[in-house]
Amino acid sequence: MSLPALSLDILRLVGGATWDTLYMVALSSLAASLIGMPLGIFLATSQRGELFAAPLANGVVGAVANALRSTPFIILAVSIIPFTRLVAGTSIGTTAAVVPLTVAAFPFVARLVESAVREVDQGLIEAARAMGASPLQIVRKVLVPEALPGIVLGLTLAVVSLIGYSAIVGVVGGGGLGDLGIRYGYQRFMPEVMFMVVVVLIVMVQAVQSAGDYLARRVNRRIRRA
Amino acid sequence: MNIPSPGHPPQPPAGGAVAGRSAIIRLAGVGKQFPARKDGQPVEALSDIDLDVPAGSVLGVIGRSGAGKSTLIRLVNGLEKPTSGQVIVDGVDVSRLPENKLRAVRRNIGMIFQHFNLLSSRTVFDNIALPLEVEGAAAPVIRERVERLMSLVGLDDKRSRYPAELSGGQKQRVGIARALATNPKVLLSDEATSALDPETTHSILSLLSAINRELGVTILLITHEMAVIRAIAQQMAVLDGGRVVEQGDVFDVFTRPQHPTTRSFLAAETGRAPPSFVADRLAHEDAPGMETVIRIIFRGRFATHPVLAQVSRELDIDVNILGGTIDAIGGKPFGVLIVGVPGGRDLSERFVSFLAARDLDTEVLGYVPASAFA
Repeated sequence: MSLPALSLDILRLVGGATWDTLYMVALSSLAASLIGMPLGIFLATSQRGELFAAPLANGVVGAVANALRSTPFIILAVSIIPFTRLVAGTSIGTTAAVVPLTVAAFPFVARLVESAVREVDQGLIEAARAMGASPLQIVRKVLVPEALPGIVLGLTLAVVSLIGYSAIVGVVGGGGLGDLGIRYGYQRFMPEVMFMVVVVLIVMVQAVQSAGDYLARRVNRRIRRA
Repeated sequence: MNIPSPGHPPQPPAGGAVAGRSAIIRLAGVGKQFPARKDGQPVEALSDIDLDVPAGSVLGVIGRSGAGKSTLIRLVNGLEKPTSGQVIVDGVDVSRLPENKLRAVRRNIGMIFQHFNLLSSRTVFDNIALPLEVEGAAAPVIRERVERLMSLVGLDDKRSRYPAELSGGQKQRVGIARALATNPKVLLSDEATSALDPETTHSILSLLSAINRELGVTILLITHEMAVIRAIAQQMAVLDGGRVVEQGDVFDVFTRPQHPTTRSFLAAETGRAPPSFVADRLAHEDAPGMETVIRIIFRGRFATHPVLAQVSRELDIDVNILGGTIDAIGGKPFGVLIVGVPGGRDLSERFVSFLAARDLDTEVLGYVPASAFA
């Protein structure tokens, strides 16, 4: 192994894999948020006596979310291959990997959004009802804006988890940094590849977390600012 | 007796005239049961409530925690539904309305809360604008209206502040402005000053009073403090164990409380209870050489007459003043004096009947040794 040749090839490999991971994580984060946020709001407002009281539907959605969350990701990814093929047209490649990632992440997002929305003071809902707001207005004008700092932090957590999950989809032909680390770093025994993969993942997680923290602080008006 | 109170703008005469106006809120035979939890009994939160709030008046409901105050006030805007009876607000029976129709009625009823319930994510301006947004008002209308309200409550300079940057009193001012945004006829106040210090309480109560006088908004408030009722209400009701045990004109209830609960609320008011140096020595049994301790309530025609001097001359006794206060409620003079009357049972009975003849209420509180204060 000659060092100069190695670093150029490896850099190209790592660069490509980084792009793949970013692509998968970004797309699945977006999809999981689009599905998970409304579900989370529903979960937080549909128990007995709440805005959209539907205890039965609440129970069903909650049970499905729990089932999906308790299935290990690798099992989930393999077992929904027919569904993946149906949605993405194929079961291999980075685009196909977005499907199991989304399915694994949206229940997580839903639970995180639910807990953020439940944190909103009941007094605010009462005040909004007293001024004649409809349930949808209460969601739009009270619950979501008031829960926003918690929602942002929840989504940050979900994106970080997705970066972790994306390393596993290599197993089902998904590509990305995890795949690169396993095939080159482990199977071809190239520790320098493994090292770079880990460094890039750490930087990625750190960047996402910092951006999330910053955003959450920006939207949090409960803190006094000078 | 009608002494115009200096420093106050003319107030609507309490009593008859107010009661004569039509009720804008009427609770008739209202009961509220909460379903049993597990295998317990259902909870009877309110029973047989009859209450009229005259249009343009301020009615205060006082009660301890758990007396049903919160439930009662929430019946008025339909946040709670009664199990029985009618709740009529401005001619509409809100207890029968479905939720979507109730929304329109609620826009005509403002509400303020003990913990303000402002949105932390919205500025002062946007908090006040919320009810107008809910109503679907156009932006220029919202801006004009919110600006007027901000100056009404004295917060023009806080327009872009968030609630976390405001003091408790300022938050409640935002709450009041928000409650008035849709020009409601009725304002419900749920312990609005209970989380505030005395000075701030005073300024918030003055603001509410001004809103009642100048905008003609009817105010129904619940509180556990007699001082709040005394400061702004003309009518009052005492709630105990889910029932109205006493109601009427504030002056009458303050000066002639009938129910033990009312009396115990009033005991905390300054001047009604004997000062501690008397209370500590107070005995229930009379004995030779004891003074009879009597509480005199001055109200009505003879409230401002020199009755004590007269009775001292008439009966030839030295009345010993032990404590008391002279004040006005709703602009009407009112006084409480705690006095010691020497000379045994015979003299004290003549003393009481002398005062009774002048329409003054007395109550024997006990006996203290005449030499106690020498």
